[in-house]
Amino acid sequence: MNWIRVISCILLYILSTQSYQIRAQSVLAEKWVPNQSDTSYQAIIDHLEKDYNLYFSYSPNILNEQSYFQTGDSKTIGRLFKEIFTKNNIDFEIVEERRILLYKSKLQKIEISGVIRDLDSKESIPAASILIKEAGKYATANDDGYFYCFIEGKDSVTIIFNSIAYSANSFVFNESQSKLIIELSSNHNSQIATITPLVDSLVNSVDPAKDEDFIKRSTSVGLSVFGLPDITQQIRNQAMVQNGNEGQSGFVVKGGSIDQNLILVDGMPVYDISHIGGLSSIFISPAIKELKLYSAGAPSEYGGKLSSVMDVKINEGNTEEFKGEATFGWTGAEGHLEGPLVRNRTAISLSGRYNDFNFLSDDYFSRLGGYNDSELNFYDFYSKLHHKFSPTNRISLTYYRGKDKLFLFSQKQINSGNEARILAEENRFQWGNELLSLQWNKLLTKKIFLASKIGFSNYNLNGDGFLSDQTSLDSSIVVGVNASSSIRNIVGSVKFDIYETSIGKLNFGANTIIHNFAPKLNESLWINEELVSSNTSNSEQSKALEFNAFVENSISFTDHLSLRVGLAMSSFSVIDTSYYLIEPRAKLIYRKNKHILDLNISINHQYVHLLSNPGPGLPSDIWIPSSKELEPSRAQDITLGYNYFLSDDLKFEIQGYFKYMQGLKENIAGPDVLQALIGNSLTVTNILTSETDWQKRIEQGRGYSTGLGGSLNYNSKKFQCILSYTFTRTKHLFPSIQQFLDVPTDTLFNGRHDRPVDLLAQVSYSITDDWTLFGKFVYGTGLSYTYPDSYFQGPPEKYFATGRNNTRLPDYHHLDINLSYTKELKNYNLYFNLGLYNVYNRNNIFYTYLNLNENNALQETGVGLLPRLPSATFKISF
Amino acid sequence: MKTYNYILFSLCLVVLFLASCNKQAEFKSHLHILSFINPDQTFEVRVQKSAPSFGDHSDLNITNACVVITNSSTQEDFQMEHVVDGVYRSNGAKPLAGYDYEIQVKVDGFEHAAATTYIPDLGNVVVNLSDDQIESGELSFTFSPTMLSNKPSNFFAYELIQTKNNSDEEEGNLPSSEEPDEESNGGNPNGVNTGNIRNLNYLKPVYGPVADGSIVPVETINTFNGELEDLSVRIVAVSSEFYDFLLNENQNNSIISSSVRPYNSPVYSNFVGDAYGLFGGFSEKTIKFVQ
Repeated sequence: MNWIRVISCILLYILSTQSYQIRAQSVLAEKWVPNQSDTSYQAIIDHLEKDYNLYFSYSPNILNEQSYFQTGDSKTIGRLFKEIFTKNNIDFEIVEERRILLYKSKLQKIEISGVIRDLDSKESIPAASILIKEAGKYATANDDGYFYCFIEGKDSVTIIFNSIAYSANSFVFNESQSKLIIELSSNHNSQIATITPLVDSLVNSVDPAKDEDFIKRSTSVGLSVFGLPDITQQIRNQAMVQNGNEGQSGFVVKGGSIDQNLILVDGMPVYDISHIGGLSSIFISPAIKELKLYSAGAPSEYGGKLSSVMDVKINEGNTEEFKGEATFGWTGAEGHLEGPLVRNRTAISLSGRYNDFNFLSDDYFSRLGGYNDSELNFYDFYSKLHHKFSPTNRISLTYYRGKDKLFLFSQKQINSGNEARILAEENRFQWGNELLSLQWNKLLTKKIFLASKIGFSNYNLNGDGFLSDQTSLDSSIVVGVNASSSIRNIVGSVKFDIYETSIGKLNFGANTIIHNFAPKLNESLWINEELVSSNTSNSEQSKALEFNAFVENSISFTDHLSLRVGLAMSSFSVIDTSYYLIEPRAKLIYRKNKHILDLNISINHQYVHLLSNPGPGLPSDIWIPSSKELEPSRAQDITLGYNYFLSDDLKFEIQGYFKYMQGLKENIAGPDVLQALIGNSLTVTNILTSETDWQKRIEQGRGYSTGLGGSLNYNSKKFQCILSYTFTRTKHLFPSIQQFLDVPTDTLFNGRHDRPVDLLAQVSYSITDDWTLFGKFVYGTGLSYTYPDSYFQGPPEKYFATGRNNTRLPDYHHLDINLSYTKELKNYNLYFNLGLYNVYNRNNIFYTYLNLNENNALQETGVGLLPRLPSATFKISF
Repeated sequence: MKTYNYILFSLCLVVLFLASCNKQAEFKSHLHILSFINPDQTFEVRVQKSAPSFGDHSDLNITNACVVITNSSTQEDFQMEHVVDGVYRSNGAKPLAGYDYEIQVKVDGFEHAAATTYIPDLGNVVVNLSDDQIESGELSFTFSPTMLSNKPSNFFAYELIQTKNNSDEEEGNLPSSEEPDEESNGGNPNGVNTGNIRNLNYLKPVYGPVADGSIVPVETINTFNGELEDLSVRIVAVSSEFYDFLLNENQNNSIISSSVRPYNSPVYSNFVGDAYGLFGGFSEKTIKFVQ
């Protein structure tokens, strides 16, 4: 009996609830016919209560003052509720037959995504900043301007979009929106080169204390020797980047050598970014869309170098209208043109430059080495074709080619008794980069972004030198030297950005590079036009395959603390050996109020190395791959940085690091490989060696680098100032080349770029709105090099060094001033610049060589490259 | 507060600047000892000291050194007497092939210096030259070492000696084949007191150790315009230290002059102690080609 009662009660309960559900469903299925007074959500509720016998319980503040626009059609109450409640993050529950409870959704989430682009050119703005005001959180657009962010538990969210050299724009969102296009207007002075941004995307130059303009305007100017904006000069203004040396190619970061910087142009590696003697970089300012420099804490997608990463993106072109500029100076001309091929879809960007210094070089090399004829010129050409299938589906094709050329010739007749001799010398240097890159970037879903690249890059360096001593038509001795270095790369890469996973933002991808190296050194001796002997080192090409796969995660623990941690696995296979290496990286950032503290830890490897001449003589650089005998270089790096925004205009930063390196390479070849090209001797020099394998000219060692650098940046509308100081100590240990008896094998020697003093003071002052005065002073300790400090009388007499890098070149310093005038006219802008490089004409030494003076005593002569140089530049842009 | 920050930053700059001062190391002089010993010549050693490259280069010969060479097997000592200008010679004594030797040099003001070497036996070395090559004017030769003695050697060096013929033309003279003149050849085996020792740093090393009975290509001369009887080759079996020394010399030297061509790699030395130089043994013979 009792069982029956229990079962009956259960059945009754079920029936009652079911009937309730049936009745609840019937309420939602009822038809609702709007009337003219239903113009707001509140009015609708009043209507439902009055005419449909429904009773609502709710908190008044959940409805807002939202208007309702009638569609004119009747609809079910369920559909109406979905339209006005669910969409606005209001949940409803039918608690009794006709009693409805309204309440705010507990996990309301507003997701915002889209593309940020330039208002005028419609080009995407990479790494633009996104501030979610209510949460105090930051997000960053990716390289294609795509962003994704979200906030939970809020009715609405205010998002401020900004980027360096753009005006901020803010919007309020009440609901999720995707495929947005946010356009920012540029506000930078077009005459001043800007790089956006220079800091890692996780560490913005942000002043969180203010709502607007929270991205500092970084208008630091970097001008080349000839008064034009130059990227490498701007790079050298950054902390931990040295101010350079006379004739230096590239740049030096944290005491490493110039080959320890990974330089990518639209994803393709580039090996030399400087033109002759550091006169200019290969980059034409208007052709560059964005440049990112990571001196610490580079993301895991980058690998293969020890010190830094420079990622350059080429201008995609204006899809709205044609724009261009032309620059004329006394050494050459430069031009840029961009515009739409199909409006708002396809654009093209073309930039070119040619500079000829023949009128300078003839006089200079005549005084330097008695040359009768010389040529010195270079050119760069950029082109990019860009097509947008949609704002989040784009394809680009980039091509670059550049070349430097130096030619020197001299001929002298010497009468010696009855004999007349003709001594002739001819030297030819050429080098340059070429690349082609096809990129396809697409938003696969709201939260997954794909970036892919394929292409090739080539670098060639070729130097020929001939010395001939001819006594008659049939009698001659000729020594020839050819040094060449060629690297060809085929590159493919793919990268996925996944937003808002359960563990934060996730990036993963892979890239592969097929290298083809051809380093070659040939020394030959001809007697009476017959080849007598020839010594060639490793003229065979060697192929190598480099592969990298990475995964990286960005997590925000709190509003102040975020972490980016990544792991890369790389392999390098060459001839009969392979290396498999792991590279972990971590970047921890703490930011609060006006302070930002960041800690970077990483392990990096390098497979491609640059061999440089260690002693006196011309820099003669050859690129070589790792091999069975030459292991990859490795660096373990820890960097701690602190930024403090003292005010809106004033920022202080300090950074310290320690880097331990293994597998470093030193060139121990005897004579300067290009000694024959110096031309300071009238005698024919036979520099044949018995060592034909270039790998045997290299020794391996280890070392460390440590440093501390600080800078003060002041930026106001009229006045900008940078004051920075970097202290770097780099020490190397090569036991196999430290055999000297008074130098124990565990003694460290200075690295080439060991630099205790590296000082920069730069000021830019706007005298009026049109006139700007610019001044820059740099000071740096001279480069270390191996100097023959000891002498044995013999015979034979010998000059040799008792230690490696045992002395320094004289300190490097110069003062530059520029005066510029800018005029904005109706349809175009004008820019004039007058400049003076090296105001006090300091003879900064480029290289030294040894020779015998008139007393037959040895002397060391230093050769400078850039004397006091005036410049005048005119630019017109439209 | 702002002023304090500026002062603090400036102080940091000053501290860093002071910390960056770099002191240049002082020059330290070392001994330079050169001795090539072979069974055909009395012991001879030259002792000098190094000087700064741009300093005073006078008076570098050491005349008051105590130099002793010892036969490591028989423990026989050979006292070296100073002759002239830093050159020390024994009283007619000559080393023997197949034995190890040790040298000790003591000079006031310098650390004690010592080195060891051995005298390799040349063995039966054959130099091959084909008739076809002679006719065409393209010469190349190989040699096959055969180890016979109790101290074999597998390191060799050579020198092409080509004297000028009586022709008016001076073609075909190779810079590498100059006969060392008397000045650099130094003292004769009978102990003539000259101020130089025989210097063999111009020899060309045969690349790599040579196995017994192997044929090693040495050099190809593409042009030869002299008479065959003018061509000789000096074959030298060298100790391993001597071989490393020659590699180092060839890597760093220019033929014409080394004064403006400093060494970039370390100077080779087999001395322990505060000295540079070479104590090396060798055996040699000269083979003349007759047409």
